[in-house]
Amino acid sequence: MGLDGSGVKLKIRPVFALDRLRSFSSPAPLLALTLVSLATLHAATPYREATVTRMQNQVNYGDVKGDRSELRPAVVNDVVRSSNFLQTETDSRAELKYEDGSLVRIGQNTVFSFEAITRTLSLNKGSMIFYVPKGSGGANVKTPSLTAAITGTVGKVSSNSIAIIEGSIVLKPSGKTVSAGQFARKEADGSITIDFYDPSKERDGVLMGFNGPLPFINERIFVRSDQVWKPDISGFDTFDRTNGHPGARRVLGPHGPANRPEGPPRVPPPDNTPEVPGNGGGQY
Amino acid sequence: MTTPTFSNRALALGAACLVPWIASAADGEYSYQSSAREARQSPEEIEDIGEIVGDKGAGFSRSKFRASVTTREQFTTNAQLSGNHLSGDFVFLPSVEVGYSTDLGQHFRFDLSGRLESALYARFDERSFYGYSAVATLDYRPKPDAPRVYVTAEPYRYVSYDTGDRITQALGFGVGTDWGRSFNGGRSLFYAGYSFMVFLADPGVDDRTQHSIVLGLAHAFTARLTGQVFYSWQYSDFDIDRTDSRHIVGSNLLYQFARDWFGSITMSFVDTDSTQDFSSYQAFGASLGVTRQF
Repeated sequence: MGLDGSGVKLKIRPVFALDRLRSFSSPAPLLALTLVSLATLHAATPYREATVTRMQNQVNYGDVKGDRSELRPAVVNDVVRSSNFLQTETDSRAELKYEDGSLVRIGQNTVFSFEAITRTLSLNKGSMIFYVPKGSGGANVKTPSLTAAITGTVGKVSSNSIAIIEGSIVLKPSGKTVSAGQFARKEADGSITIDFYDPSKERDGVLMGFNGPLPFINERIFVRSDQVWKPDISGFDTFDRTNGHPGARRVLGPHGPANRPEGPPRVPPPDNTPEVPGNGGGQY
Repeated sequence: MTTPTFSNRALALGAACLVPWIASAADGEYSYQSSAREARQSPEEIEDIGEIVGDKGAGFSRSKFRASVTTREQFTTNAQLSGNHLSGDFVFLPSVEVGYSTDLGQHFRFDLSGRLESALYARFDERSFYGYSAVATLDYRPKPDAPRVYVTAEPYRYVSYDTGDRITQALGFGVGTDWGRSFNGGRSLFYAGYSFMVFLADPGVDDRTQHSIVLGLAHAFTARLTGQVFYSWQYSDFDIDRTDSRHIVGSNLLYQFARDWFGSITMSFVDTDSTQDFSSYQAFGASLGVTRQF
């Protein structure tokens, strides 16, 4: 068994021999190696347990013992392990948080459990939203209809569909990728549809705001974000170019005696007739 | 005093264009007809995670091409852009924009957009113009959440309706960087950008260099309603003896009526301080717009 519990033995290549490391003048390579090692270990952390961080109405805590299970009302701070499951009644919801920061919010009339070693989130019935942080080692999502491998991902799951808000998933066993903005759905005839979902409904759903917003950075939050959130000042530029610049004023007409960026200074007429205010040298 | 000969035409045209567009947008609320083979979500699932439905008609909008038609009715306190709030006017602003965008490798992206636009003044109708502008941008972004660096080329040309004369035309070249960061669970976004442009213009009195910074804060109040406040400062140094310092403060609300229909309300204040007194001005503006994207 390797250090990460995966059964993979680590091989030390000569480049990492101790005498080679001593030759480095900077501690940076050692630090990088340490960080990589820590990341590798962290990436393989099983889902040992999750804590119930919020509940609404009737949520049951199930404990599987052999071929039977026992139910009791769940409470906040309950620790859920792979031998347990959560079951919600109508208009009831719950949130679980894992040690690596992964979050699962389960909807009403839902049965949810997970497997530790394979890091598999299992939705047996109902709906849920999941958040798996990037760099946490990924996970799997399993529903009665679909199974997928996920990395740093945010998604919505129902009994027959998975919609990806951030990141991507790979369906099993087909290997097809479902990216952010897309959904996979098992249809009534057994076929699987992969398509873009309606982005205007992306933030819909009670679970999206249940116990606060999901802790992920989503640059796609604004529908067609690149055309919405960036301040558009081109309209101001257009006005300025067509009315406020010297060239424009030569064509459209100035508004005062000072408005003559080019040309000779104006000489008063011989009879000293006063100029008409606001029409000094216009070219209408 | 300019006779308001254009007012009826411009206002009627603006209203005539706005009303049916809004009505059409409301009527065209997005709906998706499910096929018989499609598996349905239960009402409880929809309540908890929202409805997961296909993005009907997304084919073009998700391609590399884009297009939009916008109409806007704006009131400004200073149509002449001289002095302070002395020339109030309504301006009708229709525009058509097309664009093309494509990734060039992992870190580069090319975007080209062109816009045909017009401004029809109600009171100062001699200022009405039409023309085009275009922007070609090559982006470089080392990481998805890193600041973007870009080079850009921006030609534009505008012609007076009144005289048929060309008001101005120019070709701008520039470099810039900008960066957006979301927070508040992804509901809010801060944006900051800087650019430096060189404009080669005809007439040459419009030749100039321009530094611009822009700061923006956007927030998605609901899935359909986004609000934004922004500030921009531009410093222009003309080849002639003139420099302008322009501050713009604005806010807008953008509402998505349907999948491809957007309505916006914008308010802004502009303060320009120029070394040539006649070009110093303040203006307050408010506008109502509707955009149809394709």
